[in-house]
Amino acid sequence: MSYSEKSAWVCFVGILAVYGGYAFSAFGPSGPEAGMITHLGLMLGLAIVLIGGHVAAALFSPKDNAKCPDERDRAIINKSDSLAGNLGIAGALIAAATGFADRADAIGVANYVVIAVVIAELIRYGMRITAYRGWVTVG
Amino acid sequence: MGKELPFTNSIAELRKDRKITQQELADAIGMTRQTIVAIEKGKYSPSLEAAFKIAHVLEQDLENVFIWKT
Repeated sequence: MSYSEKSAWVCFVGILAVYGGYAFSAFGPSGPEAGMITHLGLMLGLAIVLIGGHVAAALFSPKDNAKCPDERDRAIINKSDSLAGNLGIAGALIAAATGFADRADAIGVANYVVIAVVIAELIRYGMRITAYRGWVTVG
Repeated sequence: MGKELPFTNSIAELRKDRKITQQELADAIGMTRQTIVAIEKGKYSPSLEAAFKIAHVLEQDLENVFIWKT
């Protein structure tokens, strides 16, 4: 497994674990207030998970890590970034509309938008993983 | 599940004939071994530049390495 693929796994699992917890706290029984209170802590947790994960990935892929992304890496990154960017914008608009329709307060709207962005990010890294695994053809 | 490429390649056979590993080929053309694996399996269509580099390392003409499906 290349460094780029390990990096995609680290991001996917890190975001899923950390923001899965956030979604649970924001939309779970304790309500959106708990989500807001824990948001900064979760962002810090995500940063630590991603940094630690990338350091570990680099240690286990010293050859790949020394190389720049090659043309296949760039093709995969461009395609996943394009898809996730479009979905993120659409998702944020839908989330905002949902928040307004629900007459949610500012925290509620923010939570909807965060969830939309997190889903777009999961799609970004999920697509990279499927491309690196060879489940979809890129290029 | 991805789309099937309109050409095949004989990189693996030519590489083994010359006793070149996937890693050595990757290093020679500035790619990762995983990309060479994907090209050999027909999971990735390389750029024209990369295709020429592969043919050059394998000391072959391009059409001997990449074969268009008729």
